[in-house]
Amino acid sequence: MKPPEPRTRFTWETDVKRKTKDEVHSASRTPHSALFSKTWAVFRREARTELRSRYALNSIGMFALITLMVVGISSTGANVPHRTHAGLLWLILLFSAMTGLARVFVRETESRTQDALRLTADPTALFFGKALFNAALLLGLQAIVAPLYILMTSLPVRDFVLFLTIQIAGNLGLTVASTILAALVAKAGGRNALFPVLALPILLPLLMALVGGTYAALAPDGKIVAGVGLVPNPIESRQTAWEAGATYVRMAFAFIGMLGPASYLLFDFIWSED
Amino acid sequence: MNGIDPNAIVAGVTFVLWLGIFLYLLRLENKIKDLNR
Amino acid sequence: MATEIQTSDPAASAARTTRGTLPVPFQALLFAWISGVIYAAFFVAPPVKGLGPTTKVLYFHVPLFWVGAIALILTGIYSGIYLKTRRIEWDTKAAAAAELGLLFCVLGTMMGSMWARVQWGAWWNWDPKQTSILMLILLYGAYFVLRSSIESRPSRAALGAVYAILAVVAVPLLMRIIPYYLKGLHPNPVVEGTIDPEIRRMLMAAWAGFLGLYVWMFRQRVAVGRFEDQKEGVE
Repeated sequence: MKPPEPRTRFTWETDVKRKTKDEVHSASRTPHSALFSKTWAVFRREARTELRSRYALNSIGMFALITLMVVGISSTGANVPHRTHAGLLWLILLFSAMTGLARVFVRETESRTQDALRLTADPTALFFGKALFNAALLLGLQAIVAPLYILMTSLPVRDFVLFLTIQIAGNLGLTVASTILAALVAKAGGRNALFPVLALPILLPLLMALVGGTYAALAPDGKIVAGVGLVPNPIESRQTAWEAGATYVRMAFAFIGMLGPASYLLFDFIWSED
Repeated sequence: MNGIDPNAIVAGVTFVLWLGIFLYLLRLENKIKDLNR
Repeated sequence: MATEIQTSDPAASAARTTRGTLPVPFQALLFAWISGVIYAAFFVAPPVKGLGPTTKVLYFHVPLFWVGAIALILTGIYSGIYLKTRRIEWDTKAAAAAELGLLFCVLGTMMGSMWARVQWGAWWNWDPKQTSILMLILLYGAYFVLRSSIESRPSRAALGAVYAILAVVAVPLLMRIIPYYLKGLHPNPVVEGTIDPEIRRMLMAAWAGFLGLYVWMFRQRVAVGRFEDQKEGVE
């Protein structure tokens, strides 16, 4: 393999010879030991930038609170089926996330820092650092929305361990899908509106698992016994939460297990694209 | 109209549809052959 | 290969004038085969227990979906090949496979919806198979939205390829879950085809016919796409 060309000058010509992945990144690949610190550095940079402008925090926060209010207002005393509550909760979380998760990469396109980033940053550390940031953002969202939702609707959660497991699975699944898709959207012109269009079809199987698992974690309301989406097995009241919910947990982690490595492997193709 | 089997009518319509599709594909085929000149 | 188009040799180009995308005997075979499927579905096939006279829809609705789902996987595969080789013809193939796959899925859904209306009383039931097909259609749609938002052809190809591969990774998830947990309205043994060997044979025959149709339409679409690429000097 021939050594990379020395980068003495950066030009804006559009017919620059296509560099191979290695040529672009060889100067910035790091050994494993340094990977953690680089990832953490990326994470800190994201956090610092976000705390300064508060763009994603604001949009996610506002959206979440408004939708929470609407759901709260419309469901008090309305005797809403528990499966609907599970769906509403994830609706709020999902769409709030959609407003802000693309930010990590789209921001680079908007502020034109992406070229400098391509030259200097280790793509692996970049990927994990930004993913970590998205996960943290989501965690903050979930930590606020989920308890508020339970309080507002007096949701009878019969198994908090299952409920939390589903929340964690949701966090990981949403992070895994959104990070790679954010990079994709940023490279495809950086239009934020493209992100939900791409993300939602891919997230659908995960969402069904999350809604189903959350439903299983709630006290049975004797109203609707059918399951959710792709898993129509009835959730019967005599089943424990985990008996009913194990299928959904498995589905969610299957999603993470498949999409996680896929997105890690595919990131390079996006990042080294002109 | 009493004696005509509705099954046969639907079958006939389906066949005509298929014929239409096939003829369309044949026309495309000729267009492609022209393209390659 | 009928789709290899070179622009140099005049003798070869004279030979090319007559070259289409499917040899005429195969065209005739395809016509006869699907005509036969139509005839058999309406006049020969035994009614399935519990479905009665609506059985015939089966032989169109199911193969349409099988081919539609395979087309998505093909889109993923061609996308992968494109990323590996960076030859734009593979992106053309990926897009062609997606277009046809979408068409087949939409047609299959329309037929299924009519069948559901007759059989189960509602146009849409959120039965697992219906839901998963809806997901497929949404994936296809998102793929085309993405492609249409990118100007540069090589970028469109590469980014579209990444999305297609992500979509395919998500899809087998759907396809694996359904057989294990299916307990919805969809008739299980009929779709799995294990009950009546004659029905299974007919289903396979219908499937082969639709696959043949897909292959021909695919090759046509690719030929047109590649011609346009060459005209624009991309290939």
